[in-house]
Amino acid sequence: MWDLIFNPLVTLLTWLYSIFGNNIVLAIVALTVIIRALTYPLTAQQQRSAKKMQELQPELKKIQEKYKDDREKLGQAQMELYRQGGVNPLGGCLPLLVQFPILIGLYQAIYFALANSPFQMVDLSERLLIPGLSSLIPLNHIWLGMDLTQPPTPPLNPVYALALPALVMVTTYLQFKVSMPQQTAGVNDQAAAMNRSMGTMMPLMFGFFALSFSVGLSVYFIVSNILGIAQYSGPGKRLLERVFGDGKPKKNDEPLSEITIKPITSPSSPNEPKPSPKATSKKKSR
Amino acid sequence: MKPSHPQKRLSFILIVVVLAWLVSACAPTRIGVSWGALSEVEVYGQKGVLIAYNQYVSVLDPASGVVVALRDAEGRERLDENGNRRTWAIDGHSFENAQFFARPALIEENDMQTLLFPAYTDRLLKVTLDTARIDDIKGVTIGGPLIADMAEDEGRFYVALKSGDVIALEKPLLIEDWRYNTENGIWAQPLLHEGVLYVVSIDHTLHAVDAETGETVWSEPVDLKGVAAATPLFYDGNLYVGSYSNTLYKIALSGNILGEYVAKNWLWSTPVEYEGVLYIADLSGYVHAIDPTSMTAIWSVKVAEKGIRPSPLVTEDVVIVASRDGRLYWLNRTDGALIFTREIEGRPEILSELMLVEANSEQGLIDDMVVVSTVNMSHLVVAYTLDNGRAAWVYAR
Repeated sequence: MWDLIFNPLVTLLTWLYSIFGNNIVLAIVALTVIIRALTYPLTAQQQRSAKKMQELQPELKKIQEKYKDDREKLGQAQMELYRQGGVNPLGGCLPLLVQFPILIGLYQAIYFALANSPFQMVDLSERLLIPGLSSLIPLNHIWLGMDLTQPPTPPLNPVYALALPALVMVTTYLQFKVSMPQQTAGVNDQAAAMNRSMGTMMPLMFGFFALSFSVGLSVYFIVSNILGIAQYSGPGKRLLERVFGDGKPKKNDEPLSEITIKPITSPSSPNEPKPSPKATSKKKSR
Repeated sequence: MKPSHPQKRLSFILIVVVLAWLVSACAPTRIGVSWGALSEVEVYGQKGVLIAYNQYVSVLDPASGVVVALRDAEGRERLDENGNRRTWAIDGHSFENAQFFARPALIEENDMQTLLFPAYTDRLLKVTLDTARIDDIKGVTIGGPLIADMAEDEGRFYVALKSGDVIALEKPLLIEDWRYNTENGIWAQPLLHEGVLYVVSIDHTLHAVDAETGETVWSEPVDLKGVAAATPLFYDGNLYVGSYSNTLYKIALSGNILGEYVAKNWLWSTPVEYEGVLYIADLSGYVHAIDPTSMTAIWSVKVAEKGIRPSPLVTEDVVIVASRDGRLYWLNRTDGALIFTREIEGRPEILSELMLVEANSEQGLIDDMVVVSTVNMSHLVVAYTLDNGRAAWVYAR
């Protein structure tokens, strides 16, 4: 099943290698840009979903307080809130799930295309869907004195190759920073705590991958992160605000439209006090 | 009870760790860089099957698949301090993580037999045949990883490196005599014919090198239009060599290309000549019988689901091939018709060259055997009878 993803990507990468004058780094950059562009609708949807969820946090907090002793009603109220807000609670996860195999496929493609041992080469033999591309094998895997097929650690690569895992960590952190919706003070501390954990774990995790896997994959991680940063942050000043800001909304943030929470009624408890039909919330903006 | 923040945080970290593990698990994981090498050795006057794969080397009894016991001068089995029988096995972990993917060469000096092992870890290691001992852990440093078998003549060993060098080492001291460089790696044993080494490189070329001086014989190497990773065959005055351009080339000893045969996919094995016909398999699972004069197919049949890496094993009646799909196929030699198949449990990839072990009644080996090595340690070596494909034994490491 994975071959359906891997093989076209390996073929595309090898073709791009020939287009870019047998330069594998340019081919990796181009392939990453293409994949980022193709998955843009998914990442954009994920971004929108995350933003909407963030906007609903104050209301969600109120509902949680209100129905803290009745899980059934809490669930109903949350679903009603999501419905009114036009939010699909899975809207943030599904695009991510769809992208995950593509991302794995992408770095597997780099691994396969940079085959440099008999084992890797035999794996490559049935992956090139355009026969003429075989004449390009083995791809030139030396770039700036680094062997792209080897991990960045000496003696497999020069000491300066260790800059790549560092760059992977930095760019992963920056991408994470700019992609996270800003937090409303005091709202959903659990989510904020999770975000903080993730902000620490993700760069470490990808730094570990970059140290363990080949340099070619580090190039992919860095390019992908830079594109992600550009996608999530926009122009330079906004990028700096997102990275170095305190994560809280600014005074001049625009108020968003209001959402009215309809009362939750249950046939089993007709006398349940109803939430005020006028309960409204000023939603925060970015 | 609702989980507290620290609990949720811990759960989250666990999820991230599991995710990281999943991503790592999705990365291709191969053990080592190449596949095992089978060869025949004689230990204590008995034939044995030597398997070299990654850190492990063992000699097996071809009749039973059991690792041969080490014996003392009186022929008694040697025992370790716990009373267990000692066996002919080498663990590269004890020798600076030496890895082995190539066949050893036999050195006989002063009535002592030594196996000279090309190790992936940049060196040649000497193993005393009777004791399976490596006295010099450092061995002979070569300066690059070794995947290919060595070639030799009376005066020298010719060692081809993964980095692209060919080195001539003078016997018996293994002193470097000359070094020849190709632009990329060498994964196949050089062919030595009448004082000339024919060396294929993954830089798409075939080189002819004077074995005495290390100087190039041809003005230019032959362009094979694709990676060349199999030893050429010398037959009837010409060279036959396949490449990843899907093409089997017929090349004169002068370096001129005389003919081509185009297969369905990459060719990664040496063709086998039998009664004037060349047999070769490709990485689409096709087997081809080729007339070497006209370089046209006598027959060409799709046999396996996946690619066939090793050379066919050809006998008077059958052509036997082993595939990445974990099966062996017995074909009729005259028309390529499938006679029967045998499947190895779990269908592990078979990438190593096949080995024919002839019957030897003195050793209790009644039938001729086909021995194969897989990439799965639980079926590292598997033996079948040649005639009817009966599973004889399995060696698991």
